Amino acid sequence: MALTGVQIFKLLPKTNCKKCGFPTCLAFAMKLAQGSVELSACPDVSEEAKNTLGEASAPPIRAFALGTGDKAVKMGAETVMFRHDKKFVNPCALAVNIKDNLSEDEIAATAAEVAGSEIDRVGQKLRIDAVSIEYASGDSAKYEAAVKLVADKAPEAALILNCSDAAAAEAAAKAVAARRPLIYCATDDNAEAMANIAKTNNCPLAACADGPEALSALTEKIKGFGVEDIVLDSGAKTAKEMIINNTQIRRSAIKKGFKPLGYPIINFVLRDDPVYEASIAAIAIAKYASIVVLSSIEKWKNLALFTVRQNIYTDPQVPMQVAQKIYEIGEPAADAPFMITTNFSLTYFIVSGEIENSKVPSRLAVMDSEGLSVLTAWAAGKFTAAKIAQFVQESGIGDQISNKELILPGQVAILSGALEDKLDGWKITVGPREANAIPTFLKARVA
Amino acid sequence: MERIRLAGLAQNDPTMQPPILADVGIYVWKIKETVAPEADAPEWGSLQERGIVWETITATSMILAGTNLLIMRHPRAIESVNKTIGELI
Repeated sequence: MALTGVQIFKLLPKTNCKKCGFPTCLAFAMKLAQGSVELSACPDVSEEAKNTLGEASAPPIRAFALGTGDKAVKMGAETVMFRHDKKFVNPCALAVNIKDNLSEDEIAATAAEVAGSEIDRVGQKLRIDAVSIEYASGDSAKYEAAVKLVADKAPEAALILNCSDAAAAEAAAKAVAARRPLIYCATDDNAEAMANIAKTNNCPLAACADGPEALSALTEKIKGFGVEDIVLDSGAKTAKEMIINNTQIRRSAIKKGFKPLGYPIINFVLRDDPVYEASIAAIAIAKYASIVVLSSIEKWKNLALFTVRQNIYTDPQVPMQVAQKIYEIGEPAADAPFMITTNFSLTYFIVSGEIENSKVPSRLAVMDSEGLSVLTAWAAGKFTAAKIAQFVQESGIGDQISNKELILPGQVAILSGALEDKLDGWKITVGPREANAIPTFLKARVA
Repeated sequence: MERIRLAGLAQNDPTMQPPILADVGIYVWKIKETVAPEADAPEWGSLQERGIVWETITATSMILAGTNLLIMRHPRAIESVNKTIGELI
């Protein structure tokens, strides 16, 4: 649990030497409690204090990555139960499960599907992050071959070795150790053998037990064998159990500082019907899973799941923004309408969507207003005549279009006079107040 | 919505306690993701299923946030949401 400033103060040397940059030890302790400075800034801190404080400052849910390289997925480090309390930190990984007894072609095809799953949405690259290879054949040579094939065909995906047979898991883990696969899973019966494989190959290990209580005993046992990076599976069979277990695990870790459950969660949501499976996956995404394993990854299903994940894991404290630039919608000619708005992403999507609906090719200038909407940005002095004029001039757009006319959002009609003064040679037109009037407005101009 | 539900339950705020209605069908079936033909957005996959899964997941998310009544359109989406509800009770 986090210590208070006064508790930390008691552990400091209390010399007020100022070497840390603060006037007193108490001031330094307060900053430590907020997490805004590091303990290492104090040169005279005792070993005992280091140990106590180091433990207290460790995150309630252990943070580590699934996979390696640029596409590795960070997990854990969550701090709240509800997104509206602060934010959810690390978006969960989505994985697909493949059985090793399928034909080579089928396995290769699914792996290639994963490799090609990336799409761009609202400026973020989203993809299926991992492949779980299930040991269904009972033949460890076949399993190893399947794992190698997947590793080869999906070179950037993280790997999950879904295999409780220690001998088969060991061979496969060795073969792809460089990719740092997640070994799934250790149970009460095979914990030592699985922990040894994880430790030898420096891989994370999933712990699987029935319910949070049994799970906490198992993670302690695994930790005793020297494995630190653990992923939890509470054995939930239904959506209800999944919510109950995941919530209990998250609550114990965050609210009570209960270390044996302070690890990321994996949920298998395999169902026969892909739409139904997506529905259960959406629950896992919203309710605390760090890895969600699916049985199929159709593009239409991915799109919906990516969107849910993105919505849950955006930071509600920061307005979503789009890049400042002049966007071309359709294929605008030199005399196409030229409009301006702010860079709040909702504003941009609504305005650009309505321009698309109008079917009138246009240019839309998006000005950096720190993610504020038009009226808010205007009120905050970020969408003023001077700033708009400067942006338009610096963009050099005046040389690219034949008709120097700027269409202003109707909400800031008040700026038109000042803008005409500042933008020499430009005609300023006041557009609609609401985006839904844009199609009528643009069509009327073309007619 | 989740905050409204929590306030109703935990703070006993009567203004936050009435049942919540989520009219998802009408809003789901007019957005770009459920209507854009596959030719325009090949990376989004089959149009037919795209809308159904979108409506399903929207409804599921509303249930998690605490809705009491859903208005939906597509029978297959309703079927999947019903199965989900079956797992939740």
